[in-house]
Amino acid sequence: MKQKFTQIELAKKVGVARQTVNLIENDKYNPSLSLCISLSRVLKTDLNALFWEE
Amino acid sequence: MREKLLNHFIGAVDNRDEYQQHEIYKELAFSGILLWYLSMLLMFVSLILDTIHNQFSLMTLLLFIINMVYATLIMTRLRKRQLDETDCASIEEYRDKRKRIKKSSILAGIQWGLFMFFIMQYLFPYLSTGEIVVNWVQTVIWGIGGILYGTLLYQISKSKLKKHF
Repeated sequence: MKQKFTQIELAKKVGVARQTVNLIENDKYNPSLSLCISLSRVLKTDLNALFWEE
Repeated sequence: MREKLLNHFIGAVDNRDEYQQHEIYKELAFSGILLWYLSMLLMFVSLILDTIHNQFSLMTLLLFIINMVYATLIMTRLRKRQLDETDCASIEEYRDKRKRIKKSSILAGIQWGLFMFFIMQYLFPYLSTGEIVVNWVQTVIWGIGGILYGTLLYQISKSKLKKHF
């Protein structure tokens, strides 16, 4: 199930700054495993779908 | 406690996230290194001024104590968390790293010996009395000092190489 969030909404839900979400989206910061898991839980997807590049 | 101090120091209202903390630590670490060099430079300048006036001021002493405490504290903490150790997976890797350490230790020993020889035999006597007297005994002493410094540095650096083979 796809979730639609703005960067600020997602940031609030996982407990980071909006700037951090933006950097992750733009491949400028490698998040910790715990943050990856939080993101995948909030976005209701798995880590592969979220981070794996084909 | 550490988080509170960090927030207070950078003037933040709430806690920083992992990316922000990482970047803040990087900036603080770099500033700390610059401050250390600045403090060492100030100590050296203060020592030169003391030599000119033939005295040993409280300022020089305090700067020396601050620098030594700072260096010891950082070294102890890094060693406690094993952050200064280098892993060696094979005998070849160990030998290669030991060779590099030996090379840099020899260079550091020569640099230390020459620097000390220059400031103790030329710079400080000139600033203090205006007379420069260099003899072989003192040259040999600083030479031995350089060898001892290089050897000590080599032994310390070698002790940080961890064999995993």
